[in-house]
Amino acid sequence: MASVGCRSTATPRDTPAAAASVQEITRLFEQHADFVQRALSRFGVPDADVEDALQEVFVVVAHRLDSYVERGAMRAWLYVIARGVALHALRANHRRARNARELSILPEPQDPHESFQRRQAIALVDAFLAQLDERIAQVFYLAEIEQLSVPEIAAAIGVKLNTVYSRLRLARGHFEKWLARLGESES
Amino acid sequence: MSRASEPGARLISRYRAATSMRADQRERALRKLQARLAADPTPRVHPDVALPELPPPPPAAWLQLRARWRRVATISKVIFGAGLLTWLGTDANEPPARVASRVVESPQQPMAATAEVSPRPPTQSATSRQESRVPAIIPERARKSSAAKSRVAQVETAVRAPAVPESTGEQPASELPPAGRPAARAPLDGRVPERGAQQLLAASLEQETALMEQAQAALKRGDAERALHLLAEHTWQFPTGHLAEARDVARILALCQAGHGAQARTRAKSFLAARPHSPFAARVRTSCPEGK
Repeated sequence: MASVGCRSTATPRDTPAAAASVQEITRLFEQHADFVQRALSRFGVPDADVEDALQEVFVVVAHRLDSYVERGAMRAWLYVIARGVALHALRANHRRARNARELSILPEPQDPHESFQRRQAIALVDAFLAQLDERIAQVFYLAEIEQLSVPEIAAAIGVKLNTVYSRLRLARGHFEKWLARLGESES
Repeated sequence: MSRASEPGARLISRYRAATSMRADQRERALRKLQARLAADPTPRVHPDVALPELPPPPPAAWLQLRARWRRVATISKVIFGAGLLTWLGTDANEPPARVASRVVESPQQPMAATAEVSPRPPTQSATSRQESRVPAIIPERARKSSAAKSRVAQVETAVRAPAVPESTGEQPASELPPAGRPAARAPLDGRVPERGAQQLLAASLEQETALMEQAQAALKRGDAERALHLLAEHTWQFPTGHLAEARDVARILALCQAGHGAQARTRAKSFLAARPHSPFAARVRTSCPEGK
């Protein structure tokens, strides 16, 4: 099916009129690659596919940057794009069996102690997030791990400010209780 | 609002460090990205869309994750198709909010009848040839539509009353596991909870529906450019979505309305070639007469 633009109907699809400069994309990538990569993981993209999905997110960004109107919500915008890309990847992979151990984009430290600590931190935080309702986990993740502001979160997930506040309050309460129990069981 | 306590903050910062890419990995990924941008800057996510030049709406406006997503996730595309068909058949001055309820209230409307139960197409001479083959398909869709009809009203209610408070009872404390050491049970390599992915897929259907509703509303009030933009957004977000067919129809109408008659007719032709038995076929055939 032929492609159709709103105004640029004569523009062929393969020559994006709005392609952003490589420098700009490079800057955004350096600033936000980790954020996007973690978001993709949270959206369920298998580790082995994260790198491709990450690239795809920034290709979309390059394609659409000119239409992005600065609202101080770049990460919210990236989060939405990452969600679109992740959904695409999830649909494609939905029935594909996952290998138990796939190559990960994440680093594997040489120091065994550090390696253990990192694995433990990942396991702990993921276990905490996994036990929460996904809507609450998402807010906690964006606020505490990615340090987005509440308005940014509201924009990223499309809910009202007050909803974000109440979810965050709930999540933080759970987190502190959970930490306390963790401390008790370790001591 | 208080931030996380000190042990919590430490754990989180360790988690961040553990889930960040190493500098050389980031560098490698960046080089690959730059090479890709130089070679083929077209995203693969939305193969069928040229991006509009209009500024996009704020993310929150076109991606509403509303309280009703659980309900809407159960609604099939057939219901939406029925709603769209009804709407396509209604006169242009009616407010869009009334659309879905008309499916229930006015089954005698010609288009509504087609969408719901009647195996007979509207009496249009141009359509009769094709429609003679339709009944095998239409009744099946119609059955689904009828069964789902009562739920249309439910959706409509949800659309009119989106202000369902989300914060009430979201997380009963009982969902938390009993005290223990969850880390000991958590798999080290399965970083993603399966449940999250499923919820995400369900939520995406709601987003998809919401976006289509906005596109419809824009088309309804005569803002075809805006409708095209939203439909492009839809194609980008949900290239293989549940409402892809309805989207194609809406785009044909929007193109025609925006004065791109030739394109609309080309698209209509390929739509009919690909989906001659679509419940939208009759509408598509009359979508954009010559001279528009």
